[in-house]
Amino acid sequence: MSEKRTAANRRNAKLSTGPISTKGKRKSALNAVKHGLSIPTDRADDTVLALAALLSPTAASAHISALAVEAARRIVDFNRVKRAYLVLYAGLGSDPILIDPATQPATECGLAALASLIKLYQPPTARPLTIAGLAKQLDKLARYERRALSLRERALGELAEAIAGERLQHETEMPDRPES
Amino acid sequence: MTEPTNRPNPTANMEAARLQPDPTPLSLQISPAEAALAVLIPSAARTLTDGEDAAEFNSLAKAVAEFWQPQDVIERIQMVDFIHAEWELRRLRRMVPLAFRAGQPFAVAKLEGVDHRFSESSFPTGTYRKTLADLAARGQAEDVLDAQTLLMHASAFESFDKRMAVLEIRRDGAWEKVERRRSARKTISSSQT
Repeated sequence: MSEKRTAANRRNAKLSTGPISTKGKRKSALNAVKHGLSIPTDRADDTVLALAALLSPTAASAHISALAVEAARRIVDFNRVKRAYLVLYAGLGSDPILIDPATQPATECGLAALASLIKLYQPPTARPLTIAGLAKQLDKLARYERRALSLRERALGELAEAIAGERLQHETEMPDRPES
Repeated sequence: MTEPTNRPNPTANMEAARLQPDPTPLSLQISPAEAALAVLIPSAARTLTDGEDAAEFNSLAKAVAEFWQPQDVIERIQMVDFIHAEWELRRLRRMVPLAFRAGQPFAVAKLEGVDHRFSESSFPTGTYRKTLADLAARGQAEDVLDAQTLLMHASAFESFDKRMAVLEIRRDGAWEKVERRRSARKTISSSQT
């Protein structure tokens, strides 16, 4: 690249000082906002530990306790996606499209009704949720849900298998009871 | 008459304590143990959105719990999955026809050739029914309107259908998993006796 070109690039780059309009600033302020659904929950999380205690039998071995923590963690991850679904559906509000159409007067079939149907209850800064928007969000969440569910089922399966294995081993090690 | 004593009065102390501001700030967060238990108990408060019927949800949860009789934590988790999948299915079944109806004015606008973003423009309030009648007079009957609505929102309705199919599979799968576990347990216990 020529020196002239490089200098021009540097000059042009200095002109770019980010968004200028309020709309642009509001949009760029959300650039770093992530949903965090793909980040696994911490093993030391209090809810994970409490759930692991419920999942593991009393006097469980260290191996089973570790599997219980892993399963609990995956359960919490899956529930996090379920909560995201709930937030999405909650965005529809009570009036818009979850009410029985038969209860609506015929005159409501105009634009006022349309506005309430399409522009659903959202924070004022958020873009209104449309039918297409809802469908898109459902598709997006489904990907995370599929993965979270698959990991949860695998972890629960491993835990159940380990518990059954140890129980069987414990029973075979026990001396035969005399027949009555 | 009894002599007054210097002993502290427990009732007065309780009253004083009641009047003191609680030093612990009110927390909206539930405790970890409660959060862990919440996974195992279907709750209307944590599942329903505005406008949904809590009594319907509770009766569903009660019926499923009575039928399943969950025997351990894993069965409880599957049971909660079953209830949530069934509830979301019901929600979507209610929502889809209403979404279709909400999409119809867009189809009317398209057939009329008015601005696509007519909800913010000049399509005057109160003329929607007249517009429908005009369209019908020109041979654009309700089936044409339905077809246009579907065409305009095909991908959205496909997503709703896909979600419902997934939920049906997941709901049925939850019960199958429990049945498999129970039959495996039965086989093991019968082989031991």
